[in-house]
Amino acid sequence: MKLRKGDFLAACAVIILATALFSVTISSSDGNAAEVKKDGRVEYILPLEKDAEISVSGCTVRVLNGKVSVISSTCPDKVCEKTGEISKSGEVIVCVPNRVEVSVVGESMYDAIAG
Amino acid sequence: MKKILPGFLLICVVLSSCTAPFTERTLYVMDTVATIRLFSENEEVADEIEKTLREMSASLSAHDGKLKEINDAGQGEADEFISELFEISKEKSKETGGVFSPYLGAPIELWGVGSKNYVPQDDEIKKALATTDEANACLEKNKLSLKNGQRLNFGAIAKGYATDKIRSILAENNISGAVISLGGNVYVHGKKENGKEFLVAVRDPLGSENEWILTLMLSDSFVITSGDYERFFEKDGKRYHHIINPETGRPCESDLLACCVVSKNGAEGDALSTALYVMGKEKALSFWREGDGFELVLIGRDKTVTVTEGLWDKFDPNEEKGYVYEIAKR
Repeated sequence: MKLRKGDFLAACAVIILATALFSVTISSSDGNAAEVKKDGRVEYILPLEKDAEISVSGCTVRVLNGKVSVISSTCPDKVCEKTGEISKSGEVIVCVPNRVEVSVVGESMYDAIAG
Repeated sequence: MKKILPGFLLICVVLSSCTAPFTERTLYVMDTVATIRLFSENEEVADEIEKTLREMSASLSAHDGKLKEINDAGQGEADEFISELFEISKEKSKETGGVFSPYLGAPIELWGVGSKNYVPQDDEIKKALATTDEANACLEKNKLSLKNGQRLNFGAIAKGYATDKIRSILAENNISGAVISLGGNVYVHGKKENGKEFLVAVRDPLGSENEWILTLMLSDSFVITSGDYERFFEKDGKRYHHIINPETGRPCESDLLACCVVSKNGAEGDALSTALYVMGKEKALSFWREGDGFELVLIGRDKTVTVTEGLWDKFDPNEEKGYVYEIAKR
């Protein structure tokens, strides 16, 4: 069996592609999708490049121009609405009364936020 | 080559998705959201943490837990969590000269910040304050008795205490790295899968939930913050927040926007973050100088951030936020 030029190039291409994919996954700050969890379970994954609006457990979640927000909620405190739009990996919107969490997927620049 | 290529492909795919296995869970307990992230795959440990959190929630909640039953009846049998937390709270109250107090249930419920949002009359506040004397509560063996209408409230310490319990579970099970957040009370355990310490961001009290003013590089530490931005309501143009001054029975007026405590003990960090917020900047710094085992980030209303010297080499400011940073020495 002989290693042909074509095989070598193909292998190189795959390695380059995988490395590129790998570095994109770990270094991106603007996320490309939002995960919507209800009571801790993932219900929806919304790509941020596609505008959308969904309802989940009393919260209306909207994707618009690459950002995601909770635009209305049945909860009394409205912390989720006040959080505003998010688009960076690791950013989160939580509605405790409705048990809804919206987060931008991907590697965050910090491990936790205290406050 | 035909045999090698699939192998190559496999290695590449593995490389491109190369993150260590971990266990993550989101729970709604203790009137907040808890996130648990273990840097190893271990569902049993996550189950144990979840069970403990649910038990503590059912015990320590002042609005639907076992504690409410005792408050309503003026007496009752305290379970292990209530008993232990009562003793710890008593100690923390003494250490802070009563500024941290677990005896404020009546005034806290009177205001109902975040629920009924009521601005009480002076005589109502006076009546509620009259119940808050330490001598009104007594724990003998497991029997808790509350006199003169006193109601206990562990809201300023329970989450920190709960995080201590989680820390014990992590240690007993030799978990090498974990990040726990209990409604913004953070505990970082061990090291990350790459052997590095954790980066904990401290929230900007003037910004939204995802805005932060600095990061701290830490391991095996609790990071607990109190501030008037966490829970409040507005009435007739005035803002009323949830941190009650035990002397006045009203939301305290502090020169701080937030007080962040970094400590090795969750209950202590939680109690101190509230007490030192109420005390204000100067008294908080004196308290820090006289004590040990904890460090502070004090965020002032004048947008000055005071970082105590033990954190100086661990912190990195977010320059975009317009705060001024200073160091406090012992």
